[in-house]
Amino acid sequence: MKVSVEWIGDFADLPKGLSDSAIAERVTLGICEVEGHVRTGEIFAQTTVAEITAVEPHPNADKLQLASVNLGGGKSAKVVCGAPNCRAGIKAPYAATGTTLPAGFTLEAKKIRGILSEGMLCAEDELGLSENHEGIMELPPDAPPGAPLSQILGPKAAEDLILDIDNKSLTHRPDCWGHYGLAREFAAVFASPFKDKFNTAWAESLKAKIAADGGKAPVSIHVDKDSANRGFLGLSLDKVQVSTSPPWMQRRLEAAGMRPINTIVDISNYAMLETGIPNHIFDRSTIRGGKIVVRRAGKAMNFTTLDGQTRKIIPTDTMVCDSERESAIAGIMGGLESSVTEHTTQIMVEVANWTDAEVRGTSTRLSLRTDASLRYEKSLDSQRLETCLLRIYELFLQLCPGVKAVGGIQADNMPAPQDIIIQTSPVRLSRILGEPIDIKGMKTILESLGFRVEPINQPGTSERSFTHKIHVPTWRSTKDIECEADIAEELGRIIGYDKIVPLSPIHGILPIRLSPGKTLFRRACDFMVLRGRALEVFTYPLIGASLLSKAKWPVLNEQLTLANALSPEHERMRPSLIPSLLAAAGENRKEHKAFRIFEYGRAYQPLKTEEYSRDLHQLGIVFHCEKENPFLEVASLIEDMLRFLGISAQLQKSSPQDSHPLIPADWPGCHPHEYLSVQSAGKVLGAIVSIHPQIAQAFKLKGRSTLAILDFTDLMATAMPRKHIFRPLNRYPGASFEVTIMMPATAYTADAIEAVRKLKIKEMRSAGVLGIFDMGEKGKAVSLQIDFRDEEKTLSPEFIHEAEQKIIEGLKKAGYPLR
Amino acid sequence: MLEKLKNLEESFRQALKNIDSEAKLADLKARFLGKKGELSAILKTLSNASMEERKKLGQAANELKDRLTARLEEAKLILDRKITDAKLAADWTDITLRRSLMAESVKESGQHPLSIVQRELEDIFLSMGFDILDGPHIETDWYNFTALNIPESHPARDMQDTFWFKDMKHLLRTHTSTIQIRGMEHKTPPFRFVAPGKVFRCETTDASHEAVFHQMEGMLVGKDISVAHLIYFEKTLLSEIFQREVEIRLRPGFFPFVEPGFELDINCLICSGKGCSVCKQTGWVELLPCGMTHPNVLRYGGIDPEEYTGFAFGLGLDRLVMMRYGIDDIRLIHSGNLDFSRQFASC
Ligand SMILES: [Zn+2]
Repeated sequence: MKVSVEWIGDFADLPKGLSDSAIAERVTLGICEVEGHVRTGEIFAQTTVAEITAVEPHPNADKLQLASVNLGGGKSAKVVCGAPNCRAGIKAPYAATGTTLPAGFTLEAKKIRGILSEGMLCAEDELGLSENHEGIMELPPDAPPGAPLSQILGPKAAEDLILDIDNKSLTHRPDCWGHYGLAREFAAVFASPFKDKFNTAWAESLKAKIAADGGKAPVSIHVDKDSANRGFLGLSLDKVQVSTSPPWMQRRLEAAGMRPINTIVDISNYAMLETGIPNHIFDRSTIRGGKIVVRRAGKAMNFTTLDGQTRKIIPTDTMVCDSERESAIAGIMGGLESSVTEHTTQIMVEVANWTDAEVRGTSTRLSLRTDASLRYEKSLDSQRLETCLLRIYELFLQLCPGVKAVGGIQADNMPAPQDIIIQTSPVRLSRILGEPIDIKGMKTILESLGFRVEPINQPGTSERSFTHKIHVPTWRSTKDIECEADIAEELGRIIGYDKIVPLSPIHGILPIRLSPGKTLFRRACDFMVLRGRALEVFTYPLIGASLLSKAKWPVLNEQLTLANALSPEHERMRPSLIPSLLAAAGENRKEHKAFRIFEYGRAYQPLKTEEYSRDLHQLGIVFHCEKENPFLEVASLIEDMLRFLGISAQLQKSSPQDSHPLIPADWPGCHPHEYLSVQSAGKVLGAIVSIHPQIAQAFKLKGRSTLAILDFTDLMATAMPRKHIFRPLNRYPGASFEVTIMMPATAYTADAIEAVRKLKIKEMRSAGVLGIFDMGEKGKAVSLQIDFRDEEKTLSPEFIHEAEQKIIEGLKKAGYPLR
Repeated sequence: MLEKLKNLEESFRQALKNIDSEAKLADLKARFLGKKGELSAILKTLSNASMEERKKLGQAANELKDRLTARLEEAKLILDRKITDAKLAADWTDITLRRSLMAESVKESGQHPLSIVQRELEDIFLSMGFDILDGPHIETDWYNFTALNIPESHPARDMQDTFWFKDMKHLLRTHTSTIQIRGMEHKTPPFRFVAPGKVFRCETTDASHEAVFHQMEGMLVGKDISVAHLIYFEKTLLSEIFQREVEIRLRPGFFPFVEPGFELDINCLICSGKGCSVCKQTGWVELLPCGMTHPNVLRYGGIDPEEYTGFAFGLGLDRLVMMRYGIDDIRLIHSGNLDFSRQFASC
């Protein structure tokens, strides 16, 4: 929103000598955010009237002329000019060398086609007065040479400071959407009196004048109580003449960012920009049946707004209608049919208030944001409607002197004023701000903002503890000020938060440590970086059905699909990290032949219960190699990581047909053999699986990829137990023996170790693979080492011999004979 | 006699020079110091000498023997070293062939820049006694809006800002402020905590806008907590985050769950407040929203606002990350691109 500080000056004087940026900063700190500021009209003080005394052709250019000008006070200059209307005898605006034009460039002493131009004669557009660039601006013949342009142009050339206010910072301030309301804030912030021109005496005199005009109301007003209306005022005026509005009004409209159109439209806009209350002016000849009816549309229909667009109205939209049909969408925009024209002489002024949420709902649905809807959305004060109506009447009196009010002000559905009272005391407010507040300071600030402060005397307490009744003004009562904290804010911002002395909070001693879940997360990520040598990536938690279909992932998470997705690619919550990681791997494969990536992120599981859904905390890993198989590396890494995390877990061979909570059964992405399930305490914690070439191909993952997925959701809440316990060092020597057996080429080596373990020899400490030798058609030879130890005694040679025999026998029984 | 000993020592020294194997060394030892060696031969002639001379020569011969033995041991050590080194030379390793020399295309490993910054902030907060909390991304109306004093008709609930699920009852949290309520439900004052995490806004993406981004919510509740405490705390926190003394200022800002609510600006760290393009010549940069917790919000969290007050704030993590590393496109955060992640690799 653009605010004219010159306009604000009608209601509040700013202290002299403040720089533009000082004003902008104080407004930012006390009221709302000033995003930028620009001073306008300075050019009219810097440019002067020049009389062209003679014109001669430019020696080096056909289209240029050399003008001799009289600058008054005995001064003259020679100026190069290209304008076709440049001729002796006329008067034009002159800008001297060094002047900065509104467009931003500064005139320099410079030769034009070899001739030095001493300054410049200006066209209207160069002064920012209009778009006109047909020639230099011709000033009245009686304009005295040397006089500043501001003197000739009058209000049109007033100097102003325009503040560009961030609309968002006024979301909660319906009263600040006009210069009048904002001026009250300026007055409080700059500690200057508020000149409330629109006071009771002003209102009474205008109402008396309306009453004096008498007559019978040509339009009656009927508001349906169940509509979105919050009060409706109407005033009919006759003998309106449409012409152009005066320069001062045009300038202020332009300063606020609006284009002047004609008297009626300009008055309507001007009143809105001043009072902050939108309004609508009907050509009364278009109102059928002498009746305005406010009601919900009741049926779906098309409605043409005054911008010529056809809008789709739904039955619940509130419309302003006449006896036959709809004339305006309430609070948003009038209809084309009822809008005023150059020939309009009889009008009806509507000043109404509408429910904020309903206006916002309709304007959002129609994608039609207007100056009116923007203001109604903030929840306006119905008690201020009359101010706007009277101001419009006053402006008509000023601009169309013959205007006559007919039948007085018509009102319907006007709510009674609400008196919101908040009880507080300077002591309580000091407690919120941490800054001492006294009664005088509290009263001064609140009263400057229109609050009424009423102390309740309480003998026996200190004066600062007195409870005060704070009466909230109606324009702050619509939703803005509700409680004591709101009053604290009023004081804080006007005093200035920079005046509050920072103070350290004092808190008791509380031991704080990372939660088990957070610890798990950090350790897992550290492990992946330091041991796994992998890079962490983030992928989007929102994915599309197309990605799931590309990954042939059968769980679609339909329940977790968005109602208002931005695109089909991000329309639902991912059921697993796996499809996202496959996509990321595929993208990275374009640039890299081998890589290791991981993500610690969330997948989402729909629930049929009240809970609706569950966030799953998952760690996903993809190792990709061009030639070597990364499977064993990933599996060993996961084994080590789980140990590092203090999770006791086993990896079990799995097959694609198995049902698995993290890998859907029959997921075609599963490698037929390279698939392990991670089990912990009877639960499935994760999976390690190589990507089937078919699915890998779909993601253009040329090479070999293994992924691992671990779900830590159920482990987040519990701290991992400390797992290390000291045992006395060995006192008796251990013994070990080696044995080499034959196994079929595709037999799992772990099965041989398992066969040894199954023998349950109490003294056996470990069994491991020493080496594997390819024996061609006979299969493979596997050398095992088995270690024994007894804590109590040295093992006897007889025992070792017996144990060897038992193990060899056991292996043979399991189908693995001695080599 | 002495002359003979002197000659013997000289010839030993000469012979030692040509020793290049353990066998030759043993031969040398036998030749000079053996029972039938040259020294023994000289000593045998001693029997002819006088008592006095025998004593003198015997001492000289013993001294010579000690010297030669020492030289022999020294020579053995040198020889051993030579032989071992020769074996080591045969067992040569190319010590330049480190992983860094390999043609592997991605050698780096490390965390995502957002994780790096988030962890750093978490540690700062831990050091200041803040607990670190977490909560679900999929939320109800209650936690995201109602309990945060954002009533039914509030613009913040509009479709254009919030991702709603098809049941129109559940949504993706639009801010980490949801954890204010969840935190209050589980804690009794006084307490302080932060909650980092992903948030979601229905917003068209471009270089500076993302639909999925990261916030860190903070909340401190206790007796008589005031705006003065908030200012002190934020100044301390931000000086720690930026590792330099920062100036802050509060200006009015509207957020339904705080009252008074503020936009907090810090002095521009690029121009030190003199004015530059980053701060739009104002010398100040908007950094975070904060404020005193609205009494209604305390009540919704089960805390009596007459007894306790508190403040809350929200940090935009993505912006901090982008500011720190000079990242110019927010969409890279969720790109899954390892050429992005590897630039922040820790090893
Ligand atoms: Zn700067």
